[in-house]
Amino acid sequence: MVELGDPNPMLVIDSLHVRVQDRDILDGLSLSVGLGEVHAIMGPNGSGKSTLAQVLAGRDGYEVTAGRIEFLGEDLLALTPEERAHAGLFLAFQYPIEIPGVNNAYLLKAALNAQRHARGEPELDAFEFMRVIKDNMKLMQIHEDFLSRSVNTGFSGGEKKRNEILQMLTLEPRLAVLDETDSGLDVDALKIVANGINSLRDPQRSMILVTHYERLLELVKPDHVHVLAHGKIVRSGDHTLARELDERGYEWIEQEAQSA
Amino acid sequence: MTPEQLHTQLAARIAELPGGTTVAAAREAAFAAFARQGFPTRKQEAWHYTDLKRISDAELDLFPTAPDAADPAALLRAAGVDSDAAALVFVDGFLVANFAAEVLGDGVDISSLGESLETLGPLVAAETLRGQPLAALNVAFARHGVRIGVPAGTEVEAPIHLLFVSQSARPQACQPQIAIDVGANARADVAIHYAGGPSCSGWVNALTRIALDTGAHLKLTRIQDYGPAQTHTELTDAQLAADAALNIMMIDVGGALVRNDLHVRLSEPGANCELAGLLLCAEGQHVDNHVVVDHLAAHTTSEQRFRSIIGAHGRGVFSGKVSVHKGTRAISADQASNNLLLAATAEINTKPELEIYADDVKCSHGATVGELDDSHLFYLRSRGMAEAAARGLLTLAFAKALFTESPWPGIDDRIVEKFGLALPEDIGWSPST
Repeated sequence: MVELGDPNPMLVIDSLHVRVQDRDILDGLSLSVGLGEVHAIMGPNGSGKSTLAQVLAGRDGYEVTAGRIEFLGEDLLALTPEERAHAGLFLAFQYPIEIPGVNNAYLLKAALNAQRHARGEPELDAFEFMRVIKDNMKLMQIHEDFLSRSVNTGFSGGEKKRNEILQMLTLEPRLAVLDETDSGLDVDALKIVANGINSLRDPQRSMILVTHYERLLELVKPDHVHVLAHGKIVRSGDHTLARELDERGYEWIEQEAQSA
Repeated sequence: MTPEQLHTQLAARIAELPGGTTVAAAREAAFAAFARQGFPTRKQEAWHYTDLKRISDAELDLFPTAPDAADPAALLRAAGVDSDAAALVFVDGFLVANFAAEVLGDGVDISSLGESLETLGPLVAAETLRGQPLAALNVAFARHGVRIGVPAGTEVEAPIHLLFVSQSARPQACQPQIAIDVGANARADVAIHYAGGPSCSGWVNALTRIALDTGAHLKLTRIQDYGPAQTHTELTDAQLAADAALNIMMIDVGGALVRNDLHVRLSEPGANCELAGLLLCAEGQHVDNHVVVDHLAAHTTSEQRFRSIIGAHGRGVFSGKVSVHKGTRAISADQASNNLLLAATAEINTKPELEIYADDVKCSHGATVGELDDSHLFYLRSRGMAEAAARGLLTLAFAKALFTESPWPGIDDRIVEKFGLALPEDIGWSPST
């Protein structure tokens, strides 16, 4: 089960309770993610998966009523969303936002330089920035004219998700939380996204893949798979658990958890 | 100022105003039209949100004094106009520099209002003034301005800039008049700038009369960037012949009380207008955009896209009317009014109005009023942008979504200054370029 006491955890979530609009969504969730590990969080709709992702990134309106989260030894809940980003946390959105009037290159460069600035690193000029993102764009099969288009405006669902991964590749976070990045992708787009994620796997970097389906996990093999139901983790296992869930659904686990 | 007092001013000095006897008769007729109606009041529906008492109760000299000194080059620079542009500079109504002739050559007729009235007679038809008492007042008192005549088939690539600067702190009222006539299949690009210093608290009452012949194109950029005490009213009246196209971008930055009337008549088949506006106001300013588009012929199309950003204690008004007349068909008209409120004390009144007396008409309109979207802010912050910078960027982006290219070099800085915006500091302005 949850391995507290890991000497070098990236993230420790301890008995987290979260309320959204007077409803308890997370009910004592605990999870520890070690350096370099990839964890998958699976579960039926409404189990609290996306709430967990939003709370990690610091979205307003999610009230933490009990519990704590430590990220690289810091109290994550005390940080603003931007401070979390500066500390190395990245959330790939389930529904990336369209922002007409702000182009992609500007957003990427502003985000990258804001983070570099916060870490005391020199900011990149336009030339250095292009060098950084060129390979990433190639990997995500994103055409160059994309840079001058408004953020996600008029993008297909697949383009938006590829854009999220491009941002992740460019920002090189320590902990990436991917919220249903696989939803709405066709087979080809799923492969591109999986390639992007795999290219970032690193012993110093951890990932949490929030997903409803197993198909992404065939391409990005997780070290641990957790099942979230009724606001807490009810079962953990290795990647074979994902396949079992794919075959058997979630009901049996929920029933086991309730009768336990 | 009562109509009687104004008429006393007019009668005493009408001989100083340009034009022959025909023009003088037209002035008297226009003044009579004004006097019959008087200053608009809030009892009239079209003026429901805008109170002109500030003007009607004031004692203003309708004959402005010529400026002691003016530095046209510096004024153009301050207005963001290139030093080598085809520009005319007016100060307190008076023409102080004309750089247009040397840039444009003989292809375009650019004449002062005085010359034009002498040679062409009255430039504004009486029916244009129906229901427009302020425009009638302009015609009665008009002394300075310009007529731009683009001959048929002529393409004028260089934008023609008309800069009207308020410089005097005297309580006076300027009545600039602009006539733009674009001949068949000709093309022109005109930018009208209104600017003024912080101590100018007078009134500018402008009239711009546009006539586009068959297949003519006009791009008009109109920028109002006064200090905080100026009152400005204007009527832009445009008539479009078959297949003519009019593209207008109106930007309002300053002024205490501003009322812009825009009336476009699509008179013949195939005429098309695209009207857009960006209204910025805050701190006791009141800015009112009042748009009327008349579809008078089949196969005419119109688009209205107006945005406003309102800060604390600012008040904006947008009313946009589309009138599809009897006997027309295959009409397309779109209207959008999007409004961003930056404070609890910001106010916008937005009113779309459709009058449709024909079939086979495609009309749409939509209005939004709101604050910045929390989900947009969160997205940018989750990428590491400070909250203030994310707010600044989204506010700027809200305005820039209106433009495909920047209409005026000063626009980003004005938005940033006006609302005290922060931006991601490292990259300069221009998120969309």
